[in-house]
Amino acid sequence: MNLYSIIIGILAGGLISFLGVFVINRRLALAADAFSHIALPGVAVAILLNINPTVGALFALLFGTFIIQGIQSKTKLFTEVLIGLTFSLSLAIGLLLLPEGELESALLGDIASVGFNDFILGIAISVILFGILIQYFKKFTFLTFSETLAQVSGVNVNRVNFVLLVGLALSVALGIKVVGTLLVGSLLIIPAAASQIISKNFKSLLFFSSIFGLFSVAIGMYFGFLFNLHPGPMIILVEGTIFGIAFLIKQIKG
Amino acid sequence: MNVLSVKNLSVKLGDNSVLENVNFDIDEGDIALVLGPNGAGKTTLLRAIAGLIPYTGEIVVNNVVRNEKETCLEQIRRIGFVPQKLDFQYSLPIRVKEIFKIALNIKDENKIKEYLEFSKAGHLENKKLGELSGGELQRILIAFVMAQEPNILLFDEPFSGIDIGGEETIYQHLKYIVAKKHLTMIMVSHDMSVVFNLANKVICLNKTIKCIGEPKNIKENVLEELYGSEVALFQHLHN
Repeated sequence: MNLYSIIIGILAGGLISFLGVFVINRRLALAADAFSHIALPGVAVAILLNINPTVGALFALLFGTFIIQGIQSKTKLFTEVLIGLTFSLSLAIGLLLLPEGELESALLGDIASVGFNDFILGIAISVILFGILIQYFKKFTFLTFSETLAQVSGVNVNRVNFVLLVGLALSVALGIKVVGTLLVGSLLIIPAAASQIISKNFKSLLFFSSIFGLFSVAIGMYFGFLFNLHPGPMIILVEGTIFGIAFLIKQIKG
Repeated sequence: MNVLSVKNLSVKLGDNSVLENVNFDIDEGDIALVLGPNGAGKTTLLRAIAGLIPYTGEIVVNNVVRNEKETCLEQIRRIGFVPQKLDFQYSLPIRVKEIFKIALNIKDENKIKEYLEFSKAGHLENKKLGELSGGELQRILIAFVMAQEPNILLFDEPFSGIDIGGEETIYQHLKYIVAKKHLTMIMVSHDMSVVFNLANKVICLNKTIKCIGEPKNIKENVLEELYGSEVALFQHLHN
């Protein structure tokens, strides 16, 4: 565990959970979870070529975004069907290509071993993701309650949906180092869901989602380090606990 | 003055032809009611005019021609479209005034209050969207669309999901808005008895235009043909 790991982990936790609010409210939660597995063949190829796995993941995800949009516009199949298709294919290809011994860190992440290159790459992805969130905040919000009203009001809905997918791809690429391809979807879903249960307005929904994501990563990493356990699953366990507490608070307060 | 012209409008959804060669004109201040059975293409007609779906033919809005499949959104800004419902998760904790602030970028809370008051919904500004009743949501939608200052208002089933008392209030409210803001309105509704007093033009639609004109000139046999059964047309008078 080093300073690089802590900074990247906390950045990823906060930013991904912020985007998660839009993901769960556009009913993309499961799609996001499946979508994250598209990164696996990219990670595998990157390891084989001896380049940074995050770069491989990013290429695979962006390529996957174009493939899904392309096939969808030609076949009119639902996005979830195509994500289901590309997800299983990617997982199969990834598992076949991954060199022995690399499977665990690809599936469960490896936040403890963030090197200088990973750090710089992580910061670059975070900056782009932050830029997208700032630039598209209003439009993402508009689409959480009505695509029709947004379109009539002059919002290019197709473009905004595409940018959301790109944001998703960046989040997954960023989160893979933290919790791995298997669990990165939960970084998008659980903090946002916990925040949605207890928040009284949209501002607090975004705030608490980010805070929950950020603390989950920090506390999960700490416990992983303390008990010498894999940080990835620990982070998700902390998120689950936060969700449980949020649920209890809601039940008690009504 | 003509504010909307629909010429040879046809819409296909997949292989299915939903509208064929629809032609009509709407003048400033008109309140037009689109009548027709389920599946007649009423909502599709509104969606085409609002620029939400591709079509063939020509739609002229405020003297600007939008040709087929044209999606230049700048030109249709002055069309306000009030959909039947919103598509959101009821657990979404977004408050009424937040949708104005964030989506429409209105910073001034007094301005938001003004739009809501106009729609008789001032007391709802701090309510969550998911907590609103059908009638309340309808008022918020009207306020939200009116905040964008349209001159043509498209309404899809304004009375759906609203109880009978609420129906009457929304109806009165629409009458008030149109008079106050000099709007032109096109609405789709099944509810002829309520709407006939409001509308000055009726468009009977079943894939093609079956009749068009003032309510009093619409013959019952046309409506019978339109709905495929006996339909009695009656007007109820308001004092």
